[in-house]
Amino acid sequence: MNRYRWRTSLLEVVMVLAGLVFVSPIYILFNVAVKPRDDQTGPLRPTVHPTFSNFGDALTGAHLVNAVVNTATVVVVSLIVLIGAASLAGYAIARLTSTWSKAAYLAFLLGLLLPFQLATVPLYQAMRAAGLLGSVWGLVIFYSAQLMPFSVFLYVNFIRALPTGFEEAAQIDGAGPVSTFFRIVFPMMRAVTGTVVILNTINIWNDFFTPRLYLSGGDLQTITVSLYSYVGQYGSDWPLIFGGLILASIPILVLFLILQRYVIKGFAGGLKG
Amino acid sequence: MNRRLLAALTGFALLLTGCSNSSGSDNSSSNTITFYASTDYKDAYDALINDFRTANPGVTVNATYAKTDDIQSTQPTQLQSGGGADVLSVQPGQGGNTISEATLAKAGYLVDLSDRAWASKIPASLKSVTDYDNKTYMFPGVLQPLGAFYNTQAVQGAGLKIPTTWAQVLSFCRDAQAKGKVAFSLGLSDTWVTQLVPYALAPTLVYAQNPNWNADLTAGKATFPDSAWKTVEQQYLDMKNANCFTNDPNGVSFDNTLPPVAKGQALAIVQVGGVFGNLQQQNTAVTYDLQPLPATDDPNATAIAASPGVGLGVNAKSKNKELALRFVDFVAQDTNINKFATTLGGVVPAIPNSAFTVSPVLKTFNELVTASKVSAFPDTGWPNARIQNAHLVGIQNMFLGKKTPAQVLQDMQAQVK
Amino acid sequence: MTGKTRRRRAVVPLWFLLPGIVIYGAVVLLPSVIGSGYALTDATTGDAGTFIGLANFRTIFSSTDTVGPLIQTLVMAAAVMVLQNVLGLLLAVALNSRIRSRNWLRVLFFAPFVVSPLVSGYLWKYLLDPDGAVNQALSAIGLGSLRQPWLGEPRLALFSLIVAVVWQFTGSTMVIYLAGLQGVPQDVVEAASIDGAGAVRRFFSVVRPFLAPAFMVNLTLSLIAGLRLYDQIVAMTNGGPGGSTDSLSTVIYRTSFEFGEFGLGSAMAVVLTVLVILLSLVQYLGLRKQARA
Repeated sequence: MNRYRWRTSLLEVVMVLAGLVFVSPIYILFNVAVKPRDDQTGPLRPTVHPTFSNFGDALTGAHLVNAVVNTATVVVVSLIVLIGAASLAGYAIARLTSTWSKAAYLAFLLGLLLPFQLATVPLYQAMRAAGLLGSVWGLVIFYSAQLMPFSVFLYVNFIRALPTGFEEAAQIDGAGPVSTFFRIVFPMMRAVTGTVVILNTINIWNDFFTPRLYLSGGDLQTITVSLYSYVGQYGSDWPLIFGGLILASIPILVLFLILQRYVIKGFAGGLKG
Repeated sequence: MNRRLLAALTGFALLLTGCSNSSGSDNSSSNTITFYASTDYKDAYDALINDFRTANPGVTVNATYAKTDDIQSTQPTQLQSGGGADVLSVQPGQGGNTISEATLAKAGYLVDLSDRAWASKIPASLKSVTDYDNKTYMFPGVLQPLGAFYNTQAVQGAGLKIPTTWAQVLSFCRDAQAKGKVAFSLGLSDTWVTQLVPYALAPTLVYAQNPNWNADLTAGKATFPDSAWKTVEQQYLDMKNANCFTNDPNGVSFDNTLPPVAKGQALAIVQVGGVFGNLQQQNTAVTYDLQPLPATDDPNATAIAASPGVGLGVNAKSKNKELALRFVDFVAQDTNINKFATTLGGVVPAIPNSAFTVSPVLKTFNELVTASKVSAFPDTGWPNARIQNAHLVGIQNMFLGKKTPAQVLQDMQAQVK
Repeated sequence: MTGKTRRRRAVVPLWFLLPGIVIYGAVVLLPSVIGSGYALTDATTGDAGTFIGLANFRTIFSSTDTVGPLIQTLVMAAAVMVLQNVLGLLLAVALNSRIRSRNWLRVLFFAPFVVSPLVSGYLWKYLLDPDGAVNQALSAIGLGSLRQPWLGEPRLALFSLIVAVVWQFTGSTMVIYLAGLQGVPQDVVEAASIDGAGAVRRFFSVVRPFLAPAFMVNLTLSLIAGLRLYDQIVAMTNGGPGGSTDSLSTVIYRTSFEFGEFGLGSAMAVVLTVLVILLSLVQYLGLRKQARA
């Protein structure tokens, strides 16, 4: 393929340009966030004297540190539940051929399609009756259930592509199903677990409607809620908002950079099936 | 940790399958109350809550702030399930939205506040929006004017005068345009802004003629298409055709309507008092003058619209009504509500008191209130939320040339049930 | 991949399904069923309502307030699905090449996905303002005549909304195609190119069959996401101007939570659910037939 080198470099130039156009909205997000209040230049021109005070103001004004801790707690606990339950269920669905497992898979797939509006009111009533409003637990239960179908879906597709030889060998050696799962199967699913982690984290981190509904009336806040309750109806201060938004997105971006090869691998595994 | 979660889940499943006992168990000790309020009032309430704690050692007020839109969508869901904060956000009115006083009172969510000391002092003109079935269910807080904020320096700089008649409004627009300025900054992309100009015209054209027009509407004795509302919407369109407004206002968001006024590229903006703080912040060198928008050629006939913003109510299911009431009474004290109004800027206490100093911007407004040339925001007297929505969508369509004023009013009338 | 001789299969107990099904069933399925029950009532804020049969559904299909959004939902879903997949596939093919910046570019194209839909909606609203960055950029490169009120005119607003959504989700579509492409054996492709097959033919006859699962996943996910579009609309246009960008989801939300008409809102949600299930089923069956042909 070496004779096509000039073509490759042409492609390279085109793609880099396309990439720049693609991230230009994000460039503007940053550029506006570091613009001082009295800088009247447009959003496109690079800021000459960047200020980081908007970040500081957003951090203290919106109580972001506290909110990050709350959100991270919700994410971590939900992920533990999700990974545990979804990997078990996904494994069972991928390996069993009984009517029950097929029915379970169909039920999970249905969950990918249900609009959230349908369950909102009854669910809220149940949450309140159980005393889970305004607490981290209410959110954890909600996300664990809401994101279960997609997580199961990812696991099923991935496990279907995995060879069964190792499991069979382990069981012939006398291992029970539980220890087979945890010692043999689970470690082999590292890639798809990475995908489950990153996609669900993005979902939970960015969700706005649920925490707004379940946490209002208490003093617990997640990132999106505290950012948006900081921005009033009559006072939208773009540099400040954008500063807060960037701060709120940084942890996710870092996580993605760390896990990005897993994401591709996780999907790749599932797609071979 | 897992055990607690499991227990919660089990309890949860049980509850869903019908073994629910509806005894609320919101954690409330006797000296803590929760409070759900609008973000627009955050600074002002935070200060008062601080004072309340100083005055009542040992008590805690847990306040959560959200945009008014969000409160409208979340608070009813909470109340529906028997939950909600102890002190609630209540909007004045007869059913204009999901948190309006009559809607909540009718559903039995609010405590009757008629016997509170401040309730008897509510001006008669506001009773129609704070009372339901002759009982008071909300503390109205502050009165927010709706009129045109003029950038005084910019108006003078353009060699123009603030219009006092409808004919002058149209010539003001022409002259401003000749000077390369926008007369009235307008953005219709955030729907709540679309209705402001009609709301500024209606007090003179509709409610000065018939203060009970809204009651007549509900009783079926008046309709939108066959009333002075036709003139209201027509004049809005006339202003658009006279190039009074920002170009292509449909695509302009609320955020982008204020800077042109602060910078003097636009001479004025029709807005509610709540935006004054924001306008001032954007350019402290400018002084503003709030004036009613003239709608006829008789300057003495001009009236202004003003309504309480989001007020306070007490949750009927509150476990701690005594403290919730004490908090509302505290906010209602003259010194406290005056401090609250001053922090916000652009508003006056809804229950007037002599100790309040009116800022120069609101001088005309205050005179009109004293002269009773004031009426509430029209939608506060409408029977349901759909009418207002039809109005908002209709105006956007009117500016797109897809609907005539008559059609907009017919769409609104269709929602009156 | 399976063993040469038929061996005893590993034992997998059925109870492995239980934790997932219990959580999901109690918190999603059951409340959804209860919620569907509201669809047959005239429940409102503060009133459990009475049984009114199918009256809500009659209202939905006879009112222009819901038929318009229904059509707009379908248009948006179709446009988002097609654009997102065409772009995502092109990007994936380009970034599966030997260009040096491919790793950086993958992160770059994926980055918008990390931003919350609501945030990206607000960002685009800011960019598309009549005096915003997009129009300023057009003027700066001498294309001032192309300046538009992007969110102020019904068709443009719908178009802008679709662009914003595609911008945000193309990266994730690309990643899935990329994963599919990496499963294509290189020797097969090279054999085809030695046989003199051009790049385009090589793609359609050799690579495409390997991408069938990726097509399935991407088309299904983008269709579902398109039909349920909500956050971006709320942030960018809130359904305007004049209701021209309302989707079923925004109307459901407004009906239930702004007008307080839970009964009617739930009936709309049922319609949306049926629509999503039917369309994705049709698509699934179509794709499966294609893959087998």
